[in-house]
Amino acid sequence: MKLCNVSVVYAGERPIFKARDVSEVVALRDVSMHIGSGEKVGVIGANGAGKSTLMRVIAGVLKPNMGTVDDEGMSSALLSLNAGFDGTLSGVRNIVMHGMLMGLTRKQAAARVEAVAEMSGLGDAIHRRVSTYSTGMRARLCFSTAIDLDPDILILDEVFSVGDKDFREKSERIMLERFESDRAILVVSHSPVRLERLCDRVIWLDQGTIRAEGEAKELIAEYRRSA
Amino acid sequence: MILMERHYWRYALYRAYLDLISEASRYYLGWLWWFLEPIAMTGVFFVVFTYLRPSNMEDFTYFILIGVTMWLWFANGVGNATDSLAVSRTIISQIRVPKLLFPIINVSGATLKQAFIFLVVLLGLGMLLGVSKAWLTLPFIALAQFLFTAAVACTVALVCCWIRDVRFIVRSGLTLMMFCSGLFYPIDSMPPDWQPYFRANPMAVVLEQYRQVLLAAEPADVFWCIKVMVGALLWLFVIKWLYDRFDLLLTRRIIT
Repeated sequence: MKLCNVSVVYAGERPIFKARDVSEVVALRDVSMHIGSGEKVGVIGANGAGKSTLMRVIAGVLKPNMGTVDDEGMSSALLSLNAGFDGTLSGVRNIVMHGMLMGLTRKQAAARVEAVAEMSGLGDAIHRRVSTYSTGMRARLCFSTAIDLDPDILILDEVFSVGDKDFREKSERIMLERFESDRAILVVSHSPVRLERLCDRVIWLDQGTIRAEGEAKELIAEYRRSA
Repeated sequence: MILMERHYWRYALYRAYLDLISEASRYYLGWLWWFLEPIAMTGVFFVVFTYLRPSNMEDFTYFILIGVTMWLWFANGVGNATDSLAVSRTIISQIRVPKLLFPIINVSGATLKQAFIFLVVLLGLGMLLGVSKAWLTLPFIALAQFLFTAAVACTVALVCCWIRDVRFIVRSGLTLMMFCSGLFYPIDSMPPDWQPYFRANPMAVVLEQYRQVLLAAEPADVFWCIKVMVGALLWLFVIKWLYDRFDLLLTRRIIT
């Protein structure tokens, strides 16, 4: 996956009674990066640094205003706490719908339910409406649904910031096992400790630009000094 | 597959089905509201045109019931599409999907619901008025209405995403269109000079065609239905091109 001079600008509203648009935001400015097969890459930065926008560009959800994105034939799955689940439906039905949206037939998607439910550890709650789930339970459902689809690049946006310790440890272990070979992982986190543990390389985003990029331990140390 | 890949159509139908279950579970009377809504609307028009401003028409109740049932299909499909992209923000910000999918889900939901109601109406009319060979032309009218509803809904969803204020105009527009579609009066009762203008509205002719088949036992104008189908399909292809062409701007508009 290769990004070349990517820029993303969010245009704001311009109500008719206001002379000019003051809410335009440059989320990414001239960002270039490469993610190779099997790499574990972390992205760190303050709030508003452009991390979530970068994830959306890599996932192909958002096209940049300028620059190019070459996915080199790799499939990706973006995983965040806001995973597009329908709160009025049960966990089971959300798993089926997610699978169908990713191209599976209803039968194939239904066949995944048992494995996803087991991995999530939600027990009988999997039959309850998602709107009754806690944030941690949503994270469990979200992680289990995405990892089961086996993408070439798994993009995790702050998923491990919630949920209990057991689930975090279990999901990190499963993730590293599954993505041991030629699969890539891209992790966004505010936690330097987690990035240091999970990633080989870290990218430091600051106000939409890459401030630094390098080996995880060295870059995290630099980030901590700066903070 | 037409307009979208096959798995998106499968998703749209399943999603529409689940939305109906979800909608029914929110109310005490559940799916009974599917029938109570057109019955209540028919009751209102019946009271107005039987007691307040009497109509001399025969079979007036059937006339209204057919009009209301088929009008609600169009109105629900288009009305729900105004917010379809905004309410799907969480999916659009996570997964790469064609945005056309979301208004199509709304139209599919309205179609499934109304198909169920229409079958019950057909059963009732068949028992009370009898079944005729003309009923074989009903699928042509229904398909023309489906494609026209889909074209309007996809256009409304796109425009409302771009200029959010338009949703207020859509509500008034649907009310105006309802009054101009001959829901509670035959277009033939209008002054002859006005009738071509009324019939320029495809929904007015669609309602006329249903009544022609079900009340007069005369076959529908199949040629007119095919013209509407072709026109609506071409319109849908243009709208799909606009969705694809402005996908970048559309996504940003929805996410922010």
